[in-house]
Order: sequence, then structure tokens, then C-alpha cells
Amino acid sequence: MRMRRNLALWPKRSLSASGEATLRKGRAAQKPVAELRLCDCASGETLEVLELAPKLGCAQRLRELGIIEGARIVLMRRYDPFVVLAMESRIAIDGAAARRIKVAHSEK
Amino acid sequence: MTTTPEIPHSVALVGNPNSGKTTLFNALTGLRQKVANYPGITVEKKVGTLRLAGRSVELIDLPGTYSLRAASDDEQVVRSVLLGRLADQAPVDAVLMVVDATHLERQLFLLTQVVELGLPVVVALTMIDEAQRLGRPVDAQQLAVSLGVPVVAVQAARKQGLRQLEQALAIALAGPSLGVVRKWAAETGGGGEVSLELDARQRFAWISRVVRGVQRAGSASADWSDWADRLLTHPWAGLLILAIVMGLVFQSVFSLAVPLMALISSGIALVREAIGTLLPAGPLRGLLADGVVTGVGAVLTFLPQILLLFFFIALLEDSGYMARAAMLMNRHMRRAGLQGRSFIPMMCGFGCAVPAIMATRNIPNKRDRLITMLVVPLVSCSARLPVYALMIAAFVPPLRLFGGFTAQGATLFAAYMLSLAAAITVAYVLGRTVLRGAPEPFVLELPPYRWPNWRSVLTTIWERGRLFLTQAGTIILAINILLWFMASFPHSAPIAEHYASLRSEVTTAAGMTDQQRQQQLAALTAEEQGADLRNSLAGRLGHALEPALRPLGFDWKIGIGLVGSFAAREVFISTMATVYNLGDARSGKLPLAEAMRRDIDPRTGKPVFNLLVSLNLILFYILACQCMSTVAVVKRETGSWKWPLFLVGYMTVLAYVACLIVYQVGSRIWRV
Repeated sequence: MRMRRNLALWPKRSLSASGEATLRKGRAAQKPVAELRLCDCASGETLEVLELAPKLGCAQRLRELGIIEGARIVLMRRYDPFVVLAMESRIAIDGAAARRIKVAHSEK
Repeated sequence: MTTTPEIPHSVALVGNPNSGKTTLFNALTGLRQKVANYPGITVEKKVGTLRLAGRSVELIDLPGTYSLRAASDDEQVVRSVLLGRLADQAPVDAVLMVVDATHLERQLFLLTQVVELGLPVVVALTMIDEAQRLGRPVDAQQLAVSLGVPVVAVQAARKQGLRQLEQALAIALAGPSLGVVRKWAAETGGGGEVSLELDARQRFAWISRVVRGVQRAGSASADWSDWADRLLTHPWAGLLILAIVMGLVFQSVFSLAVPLMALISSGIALVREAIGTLLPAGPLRGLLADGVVTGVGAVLTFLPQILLLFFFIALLEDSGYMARAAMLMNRHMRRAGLQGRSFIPMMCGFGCAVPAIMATRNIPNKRDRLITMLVVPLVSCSARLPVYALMIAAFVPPLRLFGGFTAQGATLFAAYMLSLAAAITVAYVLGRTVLRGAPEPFVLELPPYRWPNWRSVLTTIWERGRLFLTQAGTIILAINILLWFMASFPHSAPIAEHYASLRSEVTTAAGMTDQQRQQQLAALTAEEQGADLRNSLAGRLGHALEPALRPLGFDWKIGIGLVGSFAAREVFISTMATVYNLGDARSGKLPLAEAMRRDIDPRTGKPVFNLLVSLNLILFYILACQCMSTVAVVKRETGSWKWPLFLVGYMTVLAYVACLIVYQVGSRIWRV
């Protein structure tokens, strides 16, 4: 699965703002839409941060960098490490952390 | 009334990483800077001076930090300095806080923590032109009103706003100094405690109200950094570009440093010659020519590599590409228990471990930095190449393998791959044993791409060069002089007399052409040098080591070569040439290879060297830490002898055990 994705020439940039359209097959079946994680999103999507898992070791650091509950972020790169635009800074986050950030799709 | 001596005011420079803090520091202090380490930790302490209202003020450039939570060593230092808790640092009188206008909201977070400390704060607002260009100008006056502290817009690179900033600082320092109050409080055992427990959400809620009043809400910035990132951080195209960039850097370092190093070597040779003609033969000439001047040469030959490498590292760092490189390599380095930022130092290790260890400064996490520092010396540096080349040329047959490869080329390639594999394996093991600890989750800000500031690039090179010469260079010089002493003393009168009589026999002997006479005299000189070396402390040490080296298949001659290698690995060749009575290495490698091939062990009647022994010697050179310069630089970077000694210890044990297994198993299989 990962091999296949890496072969794509460019990271796909979804123009759709609706959640269902951008969820890829397979992932959608594993996780209900209500439990959307940062690692499940497509690049270019604007997201609202819902929760940083308490187990996440770097939660405090992420908050200091502006990835805070309620904040709007844009996913820029959807490979490990993920990159989000938060408070106008690009922040790279490794996959383990990205799996522990709950988000929701947000209107621009 | 007694007059108290003027205590210089001190101001702490605080700000986020990539906020333009270093550029401002350089603009304010010029080259009036001192760099040292905070005691016991690897965090660098930079102090400069500036004149404010006729008084000299100490400006302390604290490490870039996002918060005062003290989660890392860097943050801990910033917090301790601001709270006046560091033993050798007087409490600071004011804080100069750098805030980048293009990331106002995020950067005000640290300010909310800093103002809570109660010190006078002056804000330097940087990158205002950039914010203007993005259509998001900041109203500095309104910001000052909202924050309750003076705000000065500066453009450090163009020297704009610096005068106003200095005035604001002078006014802040003229007020009652809290540093004194706090010092008094600490001495009387009370107060000074500051709570930084306010939740990030509460802070950002207040910040967003402030920002709304001073800066227009912007659209998500879609600048050319996004376009560049789509190519440069692409999963495979990005890696390809990284490989090309690293290739270009190494090629440039190599092609520029090699002629400079040759120039330094020939300069050193000239000085040695001059000493030889000016001073009479004797211990003083030996000390100056072979000890001091050669030692200085050993130090100076590192300099071109260090300066060039740091030029490129500063360029990559300043342009914003370094963070992308770390990000791209993170997943791959993670498997070895390292992180993305360890990649560049590891690659530098192929050139030379000394600058590579200095380059680990870019790794903020202490554990990751130490592991990187401890495995970089395993990566095959350029000083090992001459040794590999000698052993391969002498003992590996030039068999043709598939596709134009020869057995010799394959051996060399295998040596490099083995060194990399050893480094990765040791990193993995260290991370799970000696330096156990949860690997830090990878969270890294990717700064916008920028044109490097030449002034700050040059300042970095200047600082690195100076640090190397004054701190590591002195240790390297001392060790070189010690090794010269070991290789030259004690002098043996019988040897000198013996060769003097032989020489007079040759000069007086009849029936010889002048040419023959010269040849015989040269051979005698080489023989005498060999006898002297064998008789010296280094030679005796080689002999003493023989029982330990036998099980690896090495004899006492290799032992002497190994002792000499501690100055620098390539010294092995000239030492072996002297041991084999060939005089200096100037007689070339081929005669040495020939002499080694012909050498017969008197005990067994078999050749000393065979394929197994020479491969084992290459293995020893891959794994052993035979480089005192590396040890010196690790001492300088970690601030103690603990880690350099650990480095020498583990590498020696690793090399010894690996060679023991290879020789014992190999000699039983091939019956050699």
C-alpha cells in the first residue's frame, strides 16, 4: 500500500472541501468519519484541530507551535513526516504523532 | 562612602528559532563575541558587547526557543538564565525579545511567558518588510500599547532601527533593575519563583485578541516556499535532489579543500626545511621540525575542510533547506534509532570526523546528539583511504569481477559500506543500552526559504574556525608533540656509533662510483632511522603490544604502525616505511608494498602478511578510533573526558573483538 502511494508522481492536492470525497478507500473503511485523524487527510485540506491525544509525548510542543485545539491548520504534505501550516508556519510532524491528532474538516 | 566597581549590565536576547535573532545579534555586536559552552552541557553560550549610553552592556544570545517550559537543554538554559539561576552567570537586567512579524501570533506565545518574569522587556520586531510584502503589515505602535512593552521595528541586515533599539534598551536599563532585586531575594532566601503554568490555550486566546488589533487577518500564505516544497520535499524527487545537493557539497569541499591542504603541507615542508638549515642537528631541531611544526601542520590541514564544510552547512541552514533535509531523512534515520538531523553530520563523516562532530550542534536533543557524535567516527573518513589503498594494492589480487569491477574496487567499496553499517548498528545498540531513552517525537518547524545572509554565514565560519584552532587545535598539537617524543626517544648511542662507523667504511671504501656511494649512504640512513624507531618508546610499545596483537594476526611492526596512527591514520604508511628501513614515505608506496609482501615471520617461516591479515588490518582501521583529533573535538563538544574516553573504549573493543573473530575463524578455514 505504502509502496503504491509513494509511486505517485506528485502528492495529490484535493480541491474538494467535503470529507467523503477526499478520504481514500481502505482508510475510510477502517475509521469512521467522526474519528478523522490528521494522517487520514489529503494535502491541501483545511482542518480544525479537535484533540491532541493525552498519550502524545509532544502535545505540549505542538500547542506551543500553534497546533492547538480549535485552531485551523492546512495539511501540506501527507507523507510521513506530515507537514501542516499552522499560524503561518510549516510544521513537520512524524507519522506517530499525526496518528494521534484528531481533526475535522473545516470551511475556509 | 565606598565606590563600587561598575558591574556591566547584561541583556538576554530571546526569540524563536528562525526569527532573525542571530542576524540581529551579529548586527548589534559585530565580531565582539565570545563563544563557550554552558558548564556541563552541550549548549553553546554566545556573549557579545555593545555600548549603550556610554556604558558597556553584555548581550547574551540565548538559544532559539519556542517556550520556557524547559523541555529541552536549550529551553532549560534560557529559563535558567532568565531566572538568574545559573551559577556562573549574573542575573540579567533586561530581555531583548525578537519577534518575527510574519509569524506574529505564534511568536507572541514566548513573549507572554517572558513578560511574566517581570524583567524589563524590549521587543525587536523583525521581518517587517516581508510582512509588508505578504500584505500583512504590523502596526508596531499599537502592538507596543497592547503588549505594554516598547516595540521597535528593525531590519538588522540593512542596519535600520538599530539606533532606536539601543535607545529603548538604554531606557529599559535605566529603570530599577529587577536583576538586583532578584539577586537580593535569592540571597535572602525568598521569592524569585515564577509560575509558567498558564495553559497554552489561554495564552493563545489573549494573543489572538492582540494580533487582531495590530495586523490584518491574512489569507493563508501561498508564497513560493509552497511551490519549492512541493518539489524539494516530494517523497522520491526530494530524496533525489537531496542526494544531488549532498554530492555537490562533497565534490566542492573535496575539490576546493584538497589543493588548499596541499598548499598548507608544502608550506609546512618549507618551514621544516628552513629549520633544518638554520638549526644544528639535535633534539631542539627535532622538537621544532618534527614535533611542533608537524603538529601545527596537522592542525592547519583540517582547517580548509572545516571552513568549507561549515560554509555549506551555514548556507543550507540559512536558506531553510537543512530543515527539509532533516525531514526527508527522518524516517530512514529513525530505523537506526537516530533522527533526521543526524543525517548531515553522518555524511560529513565520510570526509572527516572532526568537522562532522562539530556539525552535530544542529541536533537540539542531547541524547540524539551524543549518539550521532559517538558513531560518526566509525564512518570511513578520508584519512583511512591511503591505508586501505596500500593494503589493497599490496595484497588483493586484481581479479576481474562482473561488469568491469575488480576485486580491489569491490574490497574498497565493501570497506565503506561496512563502516556505514557499523555506524548504524552501533547507533541502534547505543540507543537501547547506554543512552536509553524515548526517541523524541519529530516535530520541526520548516522555515520559509530565504536568501542566506552573507554576513551571518561568514560569522559562522569565523566562529567555527576560531573555536577549532583555540580549543581542539591545542589538544591536537600537544598530542602530536607527545607522539613525536615517543617515536624519537630514547636515543641509543650504540646505534649511532654503529651506523657512523658503517658510513665511514662506505665513504672510504675504494672501487665504488659516486652514485653507488650515494645509494649505499641513503640506504644506511634509512636503516638507521628504522633502528632508531624500533628502539624508541613507540617501537618498544609496538613490541610490548605484540602478545595482544598476535591473535589478530598482527606482528610487532604493525604494532608500531598502529601506535603511530594515533596522530593520524595516514601516518601508518610513513611509520611502516621507516620500520621497513625504507626511509620516509617519499620513497613511495610500491617499494613498501613489495617489502611487506616479502616479509617473512622468523618464528613460523611464513609471510607476515597474507590476504587474511591485510583484510583484517583494513577491518581494524574501519572500526578502531585511531584519531586523537577526533577525541580532542569530542572532548571540546561534550565538555568532559567521559564521552571521548567511552568513544575510544568502545571502538577499540569493537575493533579488537571483530578482528579476533575474523582472524581466528578465517585462519582455521583457510589454514594460513
